[in-house]
Amino acid sequence: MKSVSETYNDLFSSNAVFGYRQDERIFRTRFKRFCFAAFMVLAGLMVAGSLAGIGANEYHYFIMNLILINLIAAVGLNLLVGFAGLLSLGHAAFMCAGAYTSALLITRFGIPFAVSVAAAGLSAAALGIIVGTPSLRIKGFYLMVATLAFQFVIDYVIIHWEGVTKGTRGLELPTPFFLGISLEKNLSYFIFLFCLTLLLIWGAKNITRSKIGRAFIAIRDNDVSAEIIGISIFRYKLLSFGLASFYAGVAGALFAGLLRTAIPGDYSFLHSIIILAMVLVGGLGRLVGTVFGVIFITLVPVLLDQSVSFLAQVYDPNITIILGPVKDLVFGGLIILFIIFEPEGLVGVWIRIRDYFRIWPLPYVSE
Amino acid sequence: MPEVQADSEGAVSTLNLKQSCGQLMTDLLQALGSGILVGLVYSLLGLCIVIVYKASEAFNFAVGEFMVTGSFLFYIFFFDLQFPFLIALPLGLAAAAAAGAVIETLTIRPLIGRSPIAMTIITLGLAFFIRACLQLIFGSHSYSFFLELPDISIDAGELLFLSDPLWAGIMALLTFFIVMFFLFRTKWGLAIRATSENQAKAMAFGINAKMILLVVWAASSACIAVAGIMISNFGALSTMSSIVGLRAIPVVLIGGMDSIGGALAGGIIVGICESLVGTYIEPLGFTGFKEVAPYILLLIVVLIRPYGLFGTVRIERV
Repeated sequence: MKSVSETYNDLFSSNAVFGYRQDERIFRTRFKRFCFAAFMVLAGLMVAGSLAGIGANEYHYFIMNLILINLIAAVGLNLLVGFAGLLSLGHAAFMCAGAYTSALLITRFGIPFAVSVAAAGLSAAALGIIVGTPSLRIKGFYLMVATLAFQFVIDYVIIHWEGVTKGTRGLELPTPFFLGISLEKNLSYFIFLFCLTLLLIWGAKNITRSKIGRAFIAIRDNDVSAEIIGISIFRYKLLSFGLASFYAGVAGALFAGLLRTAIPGDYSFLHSIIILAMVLVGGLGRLVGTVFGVIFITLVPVLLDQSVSFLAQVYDPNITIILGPVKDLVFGGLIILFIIFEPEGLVGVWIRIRDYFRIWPLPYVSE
Repeated sequence: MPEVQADSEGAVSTLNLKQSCGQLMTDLLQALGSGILVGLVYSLLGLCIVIVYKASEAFNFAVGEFMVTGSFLFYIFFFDLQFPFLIALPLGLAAAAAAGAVIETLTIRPLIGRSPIAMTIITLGLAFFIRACLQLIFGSHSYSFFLELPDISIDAGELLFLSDPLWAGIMALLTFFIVMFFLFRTKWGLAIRATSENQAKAMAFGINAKMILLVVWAASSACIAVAGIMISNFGALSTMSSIVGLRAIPVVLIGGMDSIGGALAGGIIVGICESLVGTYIEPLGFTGFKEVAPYILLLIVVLIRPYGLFGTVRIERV
């Protein structure tokens, strides 16, 4: 028998919680569960549509694959930056390590693609734990710069270790297979990626709603008091680096699999900033926010591409020259505007909209 | 190194040995000297980051872009409008200071009271934004940049220091001391130091902290422009020159984020490190190692002394 307040709570699907078990649920309100279900249905319809030959084409799936790969990397970075509060400017370096691990395992030892992806994650995690060691002594932007230094060192090693990595030319990969099914088409790669991303985000969600995530948050909010209440800072800081770089390594391997090459230019310092921007624009410490941020930051250059090529066709073909600078301009401008006007990120906007509709007919009744 | 040959040729080989020792010494001196000269320019960049950090606790990652902006503003006055150097330089620096002030007003001022990390990250966004603006205005090709300063190159026997790096070193050192004078011998400098020590207390004494922040960003922008002009004078100026700004990051961290003397020392250390690595390690087959070496040095320093060689050690348990 439910109490009156619980019934009220159910009716208006409010945020109030009655106990830890309720607090730890994946979907804390019906509205969230509904949104997720609707999203899954839409994704299923889209795939079914393209299997039947209508709707999204291969190019669209390529963009969506990019979004999913960036999402995996950004979720990892959000665990590190948003939850554990450790800033990193070297996330692309871990993606690079993952991509090269996977590429070398596939080309040299003929290991299956899926296994190589897992191995890439593990090797990146090992590297991440090494890189994370300075975080035990430094924080804030000292750590930011230390990770930046690691980014440059790893870039240097990858570019100049010609014997193994073939330098800037990169490594070529064969078509990836999963359980004997060819992932050559972007659509099949999308289905594989979609399932994997769901799995990884579910993992991240479980991390954040369990003991580990609460320890991260405690360290982020006040590391001294976290240690006083019995959280081993040493263990959890290294764990957060390990987890973040695991996600990055997996994302790097998947990106190399998507492009069929691993080249160092795809994992430079700029990409570290781009992934950090995705997390920031989405909203720190919120996994939903990361989804929004990744979609937003990945789609903006794509839309710019399209609009510039449209303008080039209609007005002046020379206009494509300004495409590169305009992309940078918009990207930099977005970071600046979001930090000044929307520090909570897109998730802040989302929460305002959601709260408006959740209590829509009776705006003064809630809570 | 000459090999020691048969006894009959002993005298000759000793002579060879002496000569090669002399050669080694000259190489070393040459490397150290050019390292110090470049290092002084890095020190100036480091100083600009340090004063901004002391005033607003923000790390300016856009230093390279500020540098290119300042250089282009000077370029307009000196090469496009054909002003004489002594008029074009102050005008260019004033324009750079104005640009710095505008950037501060638009992006840093709204963040007063927020976390310093937000300000640091906004400079990352600024780096992209300014670079893109410069590319749209000036294009991505190189502009030839030659100041025609009087030739002061030193050619002492085997040592040779070219005129341009010497001028760069001198100008950087001069600017460094002007900034020091401004900070430690003027009323404004006192106000800046007071604000960077304790913002709330300084405001209680009637110092306009917002104004101070503006002055600091403008001054640092002007000084970065000096470094930019000197670096462009080595070769050419293009929007891609902003990469040099990344060299200033190890300078500050090695010297210590809040130490002005540390910036000087850090710059010289980074300059020497680059030039020694360029002379002795790169020929062994490590091409491009020069660019990473300062970062490896930075990692070592940060692991041993987290707050840099000369930074204030904060007593906190991390």
